[in-house]
Amino acid sequence: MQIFQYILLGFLVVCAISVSFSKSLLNSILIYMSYSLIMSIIWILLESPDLAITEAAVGAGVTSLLFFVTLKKIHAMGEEDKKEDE
Amino acid sequence: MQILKWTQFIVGTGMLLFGLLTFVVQLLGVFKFKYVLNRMQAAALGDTLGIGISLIGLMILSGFNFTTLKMGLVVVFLWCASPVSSHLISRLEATTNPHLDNYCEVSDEVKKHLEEENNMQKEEA
Amino acid sequence: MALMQAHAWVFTIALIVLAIMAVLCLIRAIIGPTIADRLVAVNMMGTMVMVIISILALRLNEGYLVDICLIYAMISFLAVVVLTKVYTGVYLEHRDQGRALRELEEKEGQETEGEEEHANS
Repeated sequence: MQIFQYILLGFLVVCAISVSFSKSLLNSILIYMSYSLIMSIIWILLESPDLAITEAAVGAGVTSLLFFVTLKKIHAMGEEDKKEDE
Repeated sequence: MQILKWTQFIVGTGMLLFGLLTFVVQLLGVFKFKYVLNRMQAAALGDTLGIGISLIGLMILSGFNFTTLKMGLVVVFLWCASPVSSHLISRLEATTNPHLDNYCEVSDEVKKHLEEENNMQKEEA
Repeated sequence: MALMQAHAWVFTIALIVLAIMAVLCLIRAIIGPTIADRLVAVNMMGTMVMVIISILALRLNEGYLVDICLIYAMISFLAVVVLTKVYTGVYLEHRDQGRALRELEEKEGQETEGEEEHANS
């Protein structure tokens, strides 16, 4: 059980670093979604299922979708591919 | 009575390990294939078979109670939802990839559409 | 009693294997060049987390953990639907914008040539 927790915590660290280092905003949102995915498992391991449910519903669900909508509103999504192509 | 418990345990873990094996195969497929449409075909394997078998194994392990019913609901929902999400992802790939024809053979009117798009892009560049 | 140890033992091994696979899924999501790769990887990670949560539900024998599994099934499906809609919309919009821009330039190009012809004719 301990090893499982260590692996998950390592996963979180990798997730956090790769969110800041990813070039395109879209990519960082997807990694943010997987971060909150694993965070809710850790809430379960810490014996608090209500937090896990809220983290699951809010973290992966609402926040990420709000990020997508804001990205679409400020037309930031298409620009990265263009910058990368040039 | 004890034998019944042991058989339940063995059948459940057998199915769970088989589900894990499907996940390993899925991961190998995703890492091996280069283009996204083949990669997605491998990923869909785990979405339907992998989770189906492992959750049924867990249902057997947990016996007759409310959790089993909920796990059954999860399996039913996933078997309906994951093919739809795979279809959506492949449609996303088909619309956003202008060089689709050199990855997979494409019907002729789509090819015409792609060529017209490509020379449009060449003018732009 | 041996049965309980066997149960606990099998669940721990399954959890560890699934955790390692989730980490590999994340690496696939980071590497993946196109947006569809990343979506596939996140979707795969969602299903793996679902199996992890149901194993934990049995391991800590609390039944209501499976609700989180249900929530994740819906959320990962919702995320795929929304992301594909949003991204195709943005892509098509940019492409049409580019086409409209080029038509504008072509029109200006013709007008200027028209004036030059008038000027030099």
